[in-house]
Amino acid sequence: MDRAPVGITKRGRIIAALCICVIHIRIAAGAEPGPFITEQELLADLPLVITASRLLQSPSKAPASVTVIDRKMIEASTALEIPDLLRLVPGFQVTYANGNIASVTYHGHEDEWSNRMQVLIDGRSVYTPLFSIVDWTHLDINLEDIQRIEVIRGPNAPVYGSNAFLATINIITRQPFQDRGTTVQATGGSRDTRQGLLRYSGQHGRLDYRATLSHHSDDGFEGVNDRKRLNSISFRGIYDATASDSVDLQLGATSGPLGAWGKSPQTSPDRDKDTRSYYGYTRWEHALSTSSGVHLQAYHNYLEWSDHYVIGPLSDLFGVDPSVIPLFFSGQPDQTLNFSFYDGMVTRSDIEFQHTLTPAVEWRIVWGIGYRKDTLESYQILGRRDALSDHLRRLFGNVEWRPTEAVMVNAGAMIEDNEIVNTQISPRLAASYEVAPGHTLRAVATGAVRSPSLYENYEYNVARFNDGTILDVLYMADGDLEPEEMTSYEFGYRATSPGGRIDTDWKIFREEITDIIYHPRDPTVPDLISTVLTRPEEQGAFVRVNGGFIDTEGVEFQVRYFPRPYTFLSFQYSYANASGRIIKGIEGDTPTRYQQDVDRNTPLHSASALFSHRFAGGLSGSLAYFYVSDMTWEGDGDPVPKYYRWDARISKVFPLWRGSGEISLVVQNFLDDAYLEFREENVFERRAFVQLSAAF
Amino acid sequence: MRTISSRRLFRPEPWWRPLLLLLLLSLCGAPPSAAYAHVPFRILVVLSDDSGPYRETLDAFRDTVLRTTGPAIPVEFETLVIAGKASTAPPPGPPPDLVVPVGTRATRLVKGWSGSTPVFNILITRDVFNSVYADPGRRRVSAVFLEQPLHRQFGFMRLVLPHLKHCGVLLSERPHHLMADMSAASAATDMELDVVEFGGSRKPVESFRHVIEHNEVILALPDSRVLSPNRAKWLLYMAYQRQVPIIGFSRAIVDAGALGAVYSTPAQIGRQAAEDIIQVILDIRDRPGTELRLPEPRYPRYFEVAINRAVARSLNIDVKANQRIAQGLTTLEQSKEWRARY
Repeated sequence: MDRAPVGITKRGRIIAALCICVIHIRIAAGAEPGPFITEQELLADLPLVITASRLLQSPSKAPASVTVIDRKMIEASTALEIPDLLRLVPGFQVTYANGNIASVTYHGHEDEWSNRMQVLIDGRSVYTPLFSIVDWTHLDINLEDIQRIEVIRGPNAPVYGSNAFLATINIITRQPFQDRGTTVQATGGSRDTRQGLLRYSGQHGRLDYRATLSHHSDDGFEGVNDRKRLNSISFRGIYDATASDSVDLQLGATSGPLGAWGKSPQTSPDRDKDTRSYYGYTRWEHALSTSSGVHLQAYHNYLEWSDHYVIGPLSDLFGVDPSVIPLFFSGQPDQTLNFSFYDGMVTRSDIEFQHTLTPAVEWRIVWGIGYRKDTLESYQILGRRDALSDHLRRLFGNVEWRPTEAVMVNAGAMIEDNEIVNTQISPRLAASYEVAPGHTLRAVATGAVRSPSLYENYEYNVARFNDGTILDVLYMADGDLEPEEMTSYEFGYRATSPGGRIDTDWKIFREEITDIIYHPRDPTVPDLISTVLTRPEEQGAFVRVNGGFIDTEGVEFQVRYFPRPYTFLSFQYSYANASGRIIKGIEGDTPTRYQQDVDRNTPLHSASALFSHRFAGGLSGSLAYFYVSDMTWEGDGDPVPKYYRWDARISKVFPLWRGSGEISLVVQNFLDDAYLEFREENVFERRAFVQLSAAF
Repeated sequence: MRTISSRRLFRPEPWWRPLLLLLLLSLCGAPPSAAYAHVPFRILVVLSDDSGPYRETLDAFRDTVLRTTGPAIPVEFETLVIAGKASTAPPPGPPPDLVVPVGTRATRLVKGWSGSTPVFNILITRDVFNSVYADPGRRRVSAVFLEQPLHRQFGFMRLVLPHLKHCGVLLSERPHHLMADMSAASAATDMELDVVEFGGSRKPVESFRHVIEHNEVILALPDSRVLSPNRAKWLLYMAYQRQVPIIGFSRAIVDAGALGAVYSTPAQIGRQAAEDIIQVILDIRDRPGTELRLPEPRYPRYFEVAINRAVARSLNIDVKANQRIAQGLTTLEQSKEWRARY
């Protein structure tokens, strides 16, 4: 048996043992493999990264008008909010009905509740049946998390379903492995803007993950109660189970108060609405081969707005003596009323299976099925305490055929069936032809339908006395709406210079929308308040009907120029001329008044540009320009004169003891040439922000 | 009884000579050297593992040897699989004429054996071979490497992407011989090379971003510090987002999303090793009593090309048919200019 040599003390043995440990550790540390690779690594399987379902469609060949805002543009842009990036898309209008309600549309014709656009985040629809909108404050993602935004200008219902009506916005977030480590960002500036972000991206075995905490607050427009105080948390994890299977899991939540727009001190005073949202999303992708694969995705979105306030008493509202109230309102005593406006709870649950295959080199086929359930619960909006739900089933298919390298034909259709409008079909046929290398012509004809949402179809928004008797019907739907229909024709031309220094896309289009869902006033709707109002245009409830058509014709283009690797210029312009007729007044089934000048709801000209250059020494600068000719947003929008806006951004990257830091100065509207957003109260003056970030 | 197929023997490759010789010998009935006529040539094949690629290599190796030698030159095989064994000693009995380790583990194991039996290593990379046999001593050693020579990879890249000029390469270090080979190969194919050193203070993602942003094509070289399976995923994804094609080094990386690769299969390595060893056997038959003369370690002769057509289409790149690319590469490598250079 071995024994410690005589003469070595216990302490000495401990030191010797420690030395041996140190040597072992050193050996272990030195055992890091060399740069050379073994046959096992050379022959090993790798996770399939670019699978059929993740394939990008090259925009130059895509049979649609596609604008891509990539990470480089996002970083160079002067946007602090996601909707502001969309000002860089030709034909797009972005406005703020107030500081926390963004409205985004393509070729106008929207109010503050823009409802004809599909917005997807990694395949998850964030369109909400509450007011039929996209709540841009509750996307539960940050600008920092976005890798690219692909905008399909024009209807795309055959691929993305109802709501992909005017356009589709695909937001693709960054893969967690793209930002390894910790990122801290703080932004402060005008209108008491305070943004903070803390993000960590890491890896655990085959799981890449990212967790983000963020805070966003600002005071919106001067003199308008539209503040934001939002906190968000989000998580994304991608688990590569095998070389051909990956699971994407995303979770997020946002909550906080938003200033509610006080339309009138008496009936809609300044107040806060409480908001909260969360979502869960998962997608399993399985590559059957390098050219075919399936995915199964499911998600659940939840959004709640809570808005309760008291108005009155009635005698104050009508400026009469309290004793008069029972005479006016069938014996009702003078009283205060419990009221709400921005109030409701919605959920959207969706499951989809998709199969992508390329049976031959010249063919690519995508088909899938899906099921979706929307629920809406709002006593204020629906006039009932239980939740309404809608179930939608869909079947879609798209075939791409490339008989020669120069020709691409694309045909597809989406069949949707729901309880509001039954079965609807959205077809598309498109063809593109590469007349010379880098020069592609395309012709596209698309039919799209937009199904009215639960809110649009079943709204019954009333003011009640405390005993439940109806005082005033504010909004109602006839409960039997037809879908809006759109037919779009476009001819396009895309040119890319050899080496890709210049990339330009032109399009001439005609869009025909019929059965537009609008809400004219109907004085025949019986309510008590009408009896005390005299002006006919104020009498009656807003009744939602299919009433009108709009035709829009125009031309638009975008040019991207990359003279050097560190410099780029993006310029986009759109000319859109609208005509049509919309019912503004109705009595029963008979229209009484029309709006003829629908062209005022679409800006004739809109343009934007972004120029960016990276100098030596980590310094970079960019200049942005936006122009929108005069227009009037529908709903509560006021006539907005044409405006120019110039923004600038300058930033400097510097090394930190670990990682790197960046300081940026963003000045929006630096000429301080004030302009209006959506309505007269929303004056946009110069705003300046400082942003500090560190990544380590 | 095995017969020699003349169809196989007359295949139009520059490696027909030993086979033709065999045929002539058998036709003339000239008996082989008496000393070797009935003494089988004994080959000990040592497999690192019993799994697919090693078996595939062994099968191709043995089939090619047996098919081409026939009864005139008896060859005996003995196989030793070392997977899972703590220590593996050479089999008892007289030493074989040649040891053929297949894979890194086998190469390392056989290096530790005493004796002077010549060793012909296959299914290993050049770096593994050079590190194991930094000092070969008196032992005669050779190898067929698994990875491709740089000039072949550049030639492939040139054929697939004839218009691109700026090529980025990520390396964890810059060994002199590799840099020299790379400069020569890029110059020969008229590419401008941007070698980005990977590691140091820069995060992997930053190195990837840098190389992607500054180049039109990325040549992914086998470097385990750069391209672990997880990191390969980053590079592929980021490059794809920026529409920058990646030329890889294996079938797997093409499946995962690279535009294309030129690579050799284990069966091709086995076949080449067999042909080289037949040459060695014929040589020793001509010079009985002398030592075996092994060829110089060399890169694979046989290769395949793979193109990810879906990626090519998505990147808007027109790529010729695989067959045409392979032919183009063979023609290029057989050109006088190319052979003079390499």
